[in-house]
Amino acid sequence: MDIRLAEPKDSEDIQDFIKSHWKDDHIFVKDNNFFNYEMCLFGAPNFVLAFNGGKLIGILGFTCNRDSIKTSDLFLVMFRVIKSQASIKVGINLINHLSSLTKYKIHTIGANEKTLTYYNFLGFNTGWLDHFYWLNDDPKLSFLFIKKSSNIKNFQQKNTDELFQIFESDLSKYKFNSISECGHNLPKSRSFFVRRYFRHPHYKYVFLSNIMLNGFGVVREVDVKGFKGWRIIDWYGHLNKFSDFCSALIVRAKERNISFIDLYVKGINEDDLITAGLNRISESVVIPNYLEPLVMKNISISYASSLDENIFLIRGDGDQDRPSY
Amino acid sequence: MEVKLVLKLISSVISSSSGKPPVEISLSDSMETIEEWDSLATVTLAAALDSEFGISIEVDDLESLSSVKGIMQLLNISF
Amino acid sequence: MNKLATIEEINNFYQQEKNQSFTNIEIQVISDVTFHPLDRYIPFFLSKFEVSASFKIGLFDQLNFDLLELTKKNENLNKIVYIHTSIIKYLVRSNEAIGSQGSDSLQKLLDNYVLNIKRAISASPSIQFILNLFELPPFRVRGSYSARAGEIKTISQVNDAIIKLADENSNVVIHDLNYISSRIGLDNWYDLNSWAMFKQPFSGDGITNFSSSLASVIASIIGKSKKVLFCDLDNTIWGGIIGDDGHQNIHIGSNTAKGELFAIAQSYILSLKNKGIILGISSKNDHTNAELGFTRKESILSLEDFSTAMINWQPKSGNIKSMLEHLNLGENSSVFIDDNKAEVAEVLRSLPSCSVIGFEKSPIEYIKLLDSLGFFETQQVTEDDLNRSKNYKDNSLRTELSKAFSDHDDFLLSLKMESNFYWNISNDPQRVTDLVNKTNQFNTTQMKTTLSEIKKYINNSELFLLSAELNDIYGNNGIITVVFGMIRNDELYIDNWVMSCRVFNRTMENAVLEVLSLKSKDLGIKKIIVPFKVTSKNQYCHSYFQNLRITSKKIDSVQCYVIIVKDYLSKIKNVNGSKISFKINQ
Repeated sequence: MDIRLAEPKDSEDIQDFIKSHWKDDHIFVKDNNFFNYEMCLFGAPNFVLAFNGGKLIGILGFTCNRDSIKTSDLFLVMFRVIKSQASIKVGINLINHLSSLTKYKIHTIGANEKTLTYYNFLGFNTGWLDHFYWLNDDPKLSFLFIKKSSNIKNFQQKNTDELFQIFESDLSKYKFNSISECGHNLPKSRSFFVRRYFRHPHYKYVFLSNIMLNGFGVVREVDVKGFKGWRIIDWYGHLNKFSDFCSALIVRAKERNISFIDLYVKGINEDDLITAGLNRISESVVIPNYLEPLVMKNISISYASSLDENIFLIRGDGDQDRPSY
Repeated sequence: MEVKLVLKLISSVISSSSGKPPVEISLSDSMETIEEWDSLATVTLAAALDSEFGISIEVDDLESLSSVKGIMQLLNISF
Repeated sequence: MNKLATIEEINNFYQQEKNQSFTNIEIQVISDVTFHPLDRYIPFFLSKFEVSASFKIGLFDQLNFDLLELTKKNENLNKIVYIHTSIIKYLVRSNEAIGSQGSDSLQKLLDNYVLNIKRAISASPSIQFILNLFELPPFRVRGSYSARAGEIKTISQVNDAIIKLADENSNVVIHDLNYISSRIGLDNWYDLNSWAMFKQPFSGDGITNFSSSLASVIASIIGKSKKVLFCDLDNTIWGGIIGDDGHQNIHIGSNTAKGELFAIAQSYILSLKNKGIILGISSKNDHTNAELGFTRKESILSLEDFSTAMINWQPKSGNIKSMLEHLNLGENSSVFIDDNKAEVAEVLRSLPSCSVIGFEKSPIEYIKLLDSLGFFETQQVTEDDLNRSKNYKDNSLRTELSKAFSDHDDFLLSLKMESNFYWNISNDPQRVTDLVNKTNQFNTTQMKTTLSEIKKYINNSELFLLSAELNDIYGNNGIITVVFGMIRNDELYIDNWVMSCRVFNRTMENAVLEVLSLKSKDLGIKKIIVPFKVTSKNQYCHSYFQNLRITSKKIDSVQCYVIIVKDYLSKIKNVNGSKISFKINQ
């Protein structure tokens, strides 16, 4: 069995493998441009490949949150091995090889709940992202998302400065440096923010900031049957300012007649988010995740991580916020 | 006698891991021959063998758990 | 022993609105003896088959006249005519006969009866006749002589003649009144005072049994007999709960008295299958365990005798509905037997057309009910019947539910479940110890214990033990869950948590976690650590924790679920609530 990092020449074989052994209408198969954008960050596809006698038998796709594989935390986004007696060994070898390529840790977001047992066995800690939301007070804007109009509380928001939009050139103002400056172990680099959000071929992301935050949030607007919602996708800055950002975002959302804000995150204190004006998801509301086609259901997003503490995971990590058509 | 017991164990682990009714398992079966027997089931098997026979399975041994014969060998059961 | 029907039930039946969807038939009754009050009871029993009937009752004692009238009017093809007889009439008449040869008169009277019936039958081939077999007399003249050459011999011969009539004429069916009267006993069958006053010879019990039995014959004529029998397994097909007791310890076969009774029940059910009834299983169990029950060599039924099975922890009504869909049979063709009152209530509530039989202790009770309610009544067993099970075999035994029943929550609430929790106290530590050592389906670490260890957990301030019983409107389940462990700084560490499979899918687990969280909050504990060992038997338990959506990490090389107390208390009201009201005793 041969295990190695993919080279540029492997692109087509990888896409063929996905077509034959995963989904023949996967976006990576249908949209070559998107495949290149998402997976070929440094020229070659970000995949670890397993070969048996020259035949491709397993692939492990990943994304990086900093500037090189060696210096990034890596997020598994596609893990597939042809079923055989050796599958387990192949799988483990792929993950081990990937681990050896970085000084940092391996994570994955959105794995199927049964697979979490498998990750536990391999030594990962697993869990679920916390799901929070805000709904507009105006019933005309929020009725679609309310199932039982009981327990929805909206707290008094803190006084915050207004948010303004920032652009790529503004990013030079921020340091994007060390772990200690953000209060967690999964910092992202400037080029990550640029390529992930400013260069996205399909989605439009908005960067919002104010002076007090000493950082910025990344938000994407979605449309649900004519109602607008904002998803909080990412955050740069110290974790202790994150809830302030949420507060400010709520003010902005009210001004712009936005129906809801939603957030999937791990590593933020619940009390801070509640004081900021967000609520933990419950059966009384539905903030849909799948929009194409629309499925009116709340979903849970899992994570597996080889990090023990100081985790900060959010929707922009891995491949969670990605078109699926 | 022990062979039957282990076959039944494998069958019930695969069944509970996949959520489908148990299928008959024979000595020649493996991950390749049984559809519901996937990596997840193998991992659950490792945990089950630990609980039932006190055999602790290292990550490196997992491969031997992907076939009935491999499991029998690991448990030192002749067949 | 269940009564077939109470006066209250009959009265309630008439208070309800007539069900428009029932099949309605008209029955002409020829009253050789007084028909009333059967006309009031029969509709109640017919309703179990979704049939309603109207009776055209002839005047009393005009048998021959009525029969002649039948042959005259050639209208009304496919009419049903029931001839309401009892041996009393003929016994009394033969006594009145002039001369000393009473018995011969009986013979003559009965022969004439048969002759007249025969004539009417041949003359009206389009009329469907229902004939009673005659009962044995309330008393005999000179004992056993009666069987050899007296009234009993005569009656047996007439009954044979009536059966012959049915064999030779396709428009005749019999109603075995002889058996019905024997079943409740001849002493209980007759009411001679009532006969004297009203020419109505049957006792109250007699009338109820008569009506039920006749209703089932009527239903079978029009094709409304039931076709499929769904059974529970634990304490229904075998004695004991296989998930708790293990398949070696369930009662089946002559090893135990209990087992002997279940063997009789299994034989009966197997006979039903051999005579054309389809069998299905609806059981709350682990699939592997359930199958093991049938591997006992004393077991008379085998898994293959069942055409379909759904063995899981989901509501039984949904499972039965799913199996019926797969068999392509209607709800009204099914019968369901279960010893558990809550299950009986659940199925009755959601599947009103399914006939549900509950029972207290002995499986013989349900066999008797199956017979006396006549759900599987038939006149003949055909070639089709003999092959039926084979044709309906559902080779893919399934465990998934086709449609979830959304009002299962309502059902759980209707059980009015209450739980008494005991924190660091116990009035039955032996039961607690046994529960920990016996239970393997809901069991987080497989750790075994001893009575003295359990006492330590109760009494030591750095250790804890929480146990609970569960009661509902159907009774008390006793202690059904135990969780124990250590208190380490601001963490509660669970050494083991077990729960009896009797209370799966009742939200009991959520109640336990809620109580643990409340206690933790009081004690300043922030996290509950639940080490978890996956085994081949605890998938239900594993799924429960997976569905909680909590963190799992290795602590001291052991895989553990971690519950943040604050999170659980704020989450439970939203998602994993329990439908149980509880009290904490400490």
